[in-house]
Amino acid sequence: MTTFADSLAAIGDAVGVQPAPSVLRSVLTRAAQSRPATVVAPCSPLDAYLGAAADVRPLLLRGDPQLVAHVVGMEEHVLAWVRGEHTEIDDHAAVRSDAGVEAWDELVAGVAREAASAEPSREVTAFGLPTDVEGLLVLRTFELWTHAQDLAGAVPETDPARLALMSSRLAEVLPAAMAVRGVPRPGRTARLVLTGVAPGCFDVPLDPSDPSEPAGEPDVTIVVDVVDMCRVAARRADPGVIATQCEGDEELGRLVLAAADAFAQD
Amino acid sequence: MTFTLAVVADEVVLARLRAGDDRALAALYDEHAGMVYGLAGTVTGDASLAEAITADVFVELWQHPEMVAGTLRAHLAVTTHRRAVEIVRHQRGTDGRRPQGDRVAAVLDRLPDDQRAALVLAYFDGRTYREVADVLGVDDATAKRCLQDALRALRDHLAGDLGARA
Repeated sequence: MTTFADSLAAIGDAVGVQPAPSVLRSVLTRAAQSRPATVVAPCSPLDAYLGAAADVRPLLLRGDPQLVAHVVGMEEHVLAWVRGEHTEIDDHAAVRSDAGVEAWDELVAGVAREAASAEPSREVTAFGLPTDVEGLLVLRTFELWTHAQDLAGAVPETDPARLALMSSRLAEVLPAAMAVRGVPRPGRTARLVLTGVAPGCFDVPLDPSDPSEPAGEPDVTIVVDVVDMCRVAARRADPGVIATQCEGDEELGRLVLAAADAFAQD
Repeated sequence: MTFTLAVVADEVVLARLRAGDDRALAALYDEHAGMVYGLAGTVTGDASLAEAITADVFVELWQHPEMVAGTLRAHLAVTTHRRAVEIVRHQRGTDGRRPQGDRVAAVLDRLPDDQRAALVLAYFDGRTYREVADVLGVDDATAKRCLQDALRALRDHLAGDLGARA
């Protein structure tokens, strides 16, 4: 059945005239000055950390005691790191504590207190990696989110603002991740288009030595669901299996996706 | 919703728009700008107004992709028509004239009275089928048929005109 909208469109087509090229330029210029209302703004790293802890807590209460021991042991390290102390982890998976979930609550509250009073950009070393206080909170948010997946046996429903923070930080570290994997690509740019519950678009200059380098025209555009991308980064999904769409230099796209889990801890 | 191929393809592009991918916007523009511009031109009869409407329609789509229901093509057509009608109404309120192009005026002159009235009311004034039926004193089905015949005549005339110029 032909609708009124179909008839209108057919009339527009029938005219058979294109607007002047300046109209597209005007559209793109105006678009560059605003973002779609659907793009989700990230929450703060501290809110993300506390949200991830709150989500995983009920799962810990009824979950594997060994995992409880692990997260408590890890939180002891996180508290030390956010205080600026140096503690080494030889085997991340082997970290354990005798304390229980209530003690973990205290540790999480302690981390939050320390983080709230710390300079967000203060350098810390966490998991053997140089980062800052906010970076540490995002790393730990990723880990807690991953534990929640493991305990629930499925991807938990996650606050979109938290996913937006996780994915934006992930985009920022992709150049370093590629360098860690031995495939740096200075001078190239990847566009990461994250779809789903926390949509966002990131042009990532892939030079690990110069984070301030302005993004050039994307050599590749990678379209992927934001949750899938975070699962790849957490080493809970295979980049070769998830649904992705690559336009441009597909080999570069594969390298970017393959390097995304370079900083996953377990 | 019926899952036609167009809807499925639209979902992929819309997902990219929702993420803020301006390349998806440019691709959409390439596909639909002619239709939007042509439609705006037939309603307003003014090329510069049609260009302004075209730009506004695509910028609005960029800013609010969540407003799309159905196919993108239908959404763009309805949005364009609504905006063009608003401008025509505003101009008519200002200077009393009905800003139609010569090509559209030629079609209107040839149409039977009931079709011309339906076209003017719905296409240029943005009235609904029900409102057209009330004004013409006919039932909804008759108003709808009149309008569809008139729209088809307009489309065929414009397409024939294009063919003659080619």
